[in-house]
Parts: sequence; structure tokens; C-alpha cells
Amino acid sequence: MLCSYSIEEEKINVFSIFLENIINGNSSYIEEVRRVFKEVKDLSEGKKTIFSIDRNYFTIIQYLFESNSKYFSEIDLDNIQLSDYKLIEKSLRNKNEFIFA
Amino acid sequence: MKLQLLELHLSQLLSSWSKSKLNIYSDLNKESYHKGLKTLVKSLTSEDFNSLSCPDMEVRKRVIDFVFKSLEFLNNSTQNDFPLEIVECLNVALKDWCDNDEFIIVTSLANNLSSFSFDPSLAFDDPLMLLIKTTYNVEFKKRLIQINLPQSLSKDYLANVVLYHELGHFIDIKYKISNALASHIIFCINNNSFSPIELNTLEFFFPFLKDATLSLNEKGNWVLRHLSEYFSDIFASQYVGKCSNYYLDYITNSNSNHSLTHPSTLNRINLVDDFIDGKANFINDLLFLATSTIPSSKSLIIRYQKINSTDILKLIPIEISNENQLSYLYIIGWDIWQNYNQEFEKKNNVSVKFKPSKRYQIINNLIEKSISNFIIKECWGKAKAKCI
Repeated sequence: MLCSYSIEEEKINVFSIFLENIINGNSSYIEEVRRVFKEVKDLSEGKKTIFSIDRNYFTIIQYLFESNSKYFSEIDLDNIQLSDYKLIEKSLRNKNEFIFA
Repeated sequence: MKLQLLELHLSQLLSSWSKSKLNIYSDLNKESYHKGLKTLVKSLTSEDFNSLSCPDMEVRKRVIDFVFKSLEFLNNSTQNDFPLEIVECLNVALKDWCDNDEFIIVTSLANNLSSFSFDPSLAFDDPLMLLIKTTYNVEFKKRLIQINLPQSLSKDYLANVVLYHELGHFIDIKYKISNALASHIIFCINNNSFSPIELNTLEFFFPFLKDATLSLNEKGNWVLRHLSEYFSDIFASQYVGKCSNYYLDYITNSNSNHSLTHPSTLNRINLVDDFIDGKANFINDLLFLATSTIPSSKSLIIRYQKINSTDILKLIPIEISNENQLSYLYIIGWDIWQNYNQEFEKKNNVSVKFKPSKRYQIINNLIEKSISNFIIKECWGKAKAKCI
């Protein structure tokens, strides 16, 4: 194989495009991103478990939870700032291999 | 991203599309999907890539990849190439686990005898679908479940029991059963939540857990990969019993060693045997638990319905009375192949002994005929009901 390809990795890349669009002023993906952030927040606050989070964005939710749990438990979903999107976009861009804890 | 490379990518697609655009399919769902691709190709060719920003070019690259990937499978799912009877059996199994109105099973026939696999790239990519809808206002109502199988075995009803295992991977990835369970297992190990007996069983089925040189993260990734194989084995055995064990054991030479991606064949067979024989097994209990947590709570249970018939030995197709009996045809095929080969001559008063290659042909032809008779009967019944 010439290069590696992972469907989950690709999902993260596309999710990063959503964040980039929001950062650049395009609001088309805000609801979808907010939905994912809510799942991470619910997981961080113990309202959801690893067995009940959204399956389509599972890897992204799990990664954001593992890497930024405290941040998401404090985020105000009704008032997400541009700096929040930028921080999460950077976190995903710098993502290493999936983390188990 | 380089503009010239993106234009090269689109040119490659247009060259491929020039042949694929004439594809004729046997069902309307594939036709409708094909129309969506046609709209995307038209939109891509009418755009001036020079005026696109870098993120927009990234989007186009992904859309071109999506069309290419879809064609890879649709090209092998046309009227002439599609293994209709095998896919119909898989469709019946799919219905047990999700709304199969959401999905279309497509196949790619590969020139490699061991190339059974499931490609998840088109079935689950919701973010990409949203990207396509937002950019081109094209919506694909159904997703493709892409199953690869060897071209030379596309009519082999013995070897193709392993396609139920591949369908198991689809279900596992859709509901993230292994992902959730792997996290749970690693969490419990880290917190000493397992009893010594449970831990012993885990270390038997996941021997690398004892390896002190592996980090917890590495162990987690290995557990995930191995769990997904174990789950898919159990999933398959709900429909075809122990049959995929027979083939797996042969093609892996009864491998007793695990690899980075797969458990040892012996462990896989043990787990399936325990499931089919109804014996307690902690790993199966964990799989049952994880499966019960998915939306509309599913269960791993024996789903095939037995048929008492010796018709194939009498060289006639078996009459199937309901969908749950379909997968049992595979079990009958394996049973005859392994245990009753001499019976063909006896049952039919034939003095000349059938060669194995002849028996292989007979079993496959008659299983296929049994399935296609059932499909025709069902379609006929539905058409008649509409007329009344």
C-alpha cells in the first residue's frame, strides 16, 4: 500500500474542515459541531457513558473527552466562542494515536 | 494543496466515469445512488478550480474520492456481476440489526483468493455526507455497505459463510460495540475491577495483556482489534453456526498464534464453539453486555431456523418457507460436504462415484437455486398481493 488510510482519521479531518469553516465565518456546520461538543460535555459530566454516546462521531467524542475532559465539562454550549473552536481545531490537528485511559 | 494535482485527480475520475456512467443495475436503489454521483460529477466539472480557496480544494478532493470509491463497488454490482443470492441472504441478516432501507449492500470482486473484507469508508461517513450536502446540495439517502469477495468464489456457498463475518464488522463499526467494550475493559483493568478468574479469561483470549513491555494505550488498541474479530465471529455464527470456523481453520492452518490484528484461530474457534454450544464464557458475556447497550438493544442469539431436508442429496433444491431458514442452507451445504458425500450416489441409484469437483458444483448450484426460488416466490407473492 502506498499510503495509510483510516476512515476514523478521515472523519477527524472532515470535522476539522467544519471547524475551519466556522472559524472563517461560515456558519453551515455550527449545529453539527455543537451537537458533538454536547456529547463530549455529557460524557465529561457523567450524563452519558462510553456505551451511550453518538456512534457516528464516536472516535472524535472519545478523543476530545480523553484529551480535554475538564475543558468540556466547563464549556457553555449556548455561548461557544471563536477561541473555543480554534482551540479544539488545534487539538484535533495535533492529535496523535487514539488514547486509551 | 496543488491545483494541478487536484485537476489530475478530476481527470482520472472523468476517465473512469466515462465507462461507469453506462452501468445498468438490477435495482432502483443503486440507480438512484448512481444519479446522485452523476450530479456530483457534473457539478465538479462545471467548477473553476482556480478560484477555490485551499480548504475548498480539500473538500473537492474528498468529493472526488467519494465518487471514485462508490464506483469501485457499483461497477461490480451491475446486473451481470452481482452475486444476487448471496447478497439477499446478507440483506435478511442486516434487517435483524438495522433499518436496511438506509443501506445498499454492494460488492467488489477481487482477483485474490483470500480477499474477503468489509470496507467501511462509505457506510458511516456522516461528516463527509454533510460536506457534500452543504457544498452541492446532493443528498445520498442510502449508504453503501461495501463487501469485497474473491471473484473466483463469488458463487461458492461454502466459502462465502465468511461474508456473515464481514457483515458483523459492519454492525460492529456502525454501533461501535468493540470500541466501547475495549474502553470498558481497559478502564476496568486499570482500576482492578475484574476478579482474578475474569482476568485469567481475559489474558487467555487476549494474551498480550500479560506483556509488560506494552503500554496501556497499545494494549487498548490491540484489545479493540481482537474484540472486533471476536464480535464478528460470534455475529456470523448466529446465522451459519460453526461453519465459518471450518473454513477459517483451514485457510489459517489452525494458527495458534495471534497477530497484531487478529486473535489466534484456536481462540476464535473456542469462543464460537462456546456460543453455539451454550457454554458460559466471560468474553461472550462481555460481548452480550456491549451488544445490549446499542440503540433498540440487540441480542447475540442463534438466529438460523433449522430445516429437515435431504432434497439436495436427491439433487433437487430445498423449499424455504421463511427468511430465517435462508442461512441454514449454508449449514446444510457444509454438513453435506463434510459428512454425507457418499449419499449422492446412494440416494440417486448412481453406480459411478461423483468426483469432489462434481459434488462441489451440485451443492453450490442447488443452494443458489433454493435461494433464488425463495426470492422469486416472495416477489411473486408481493406482486400478487398488490393486484388484489
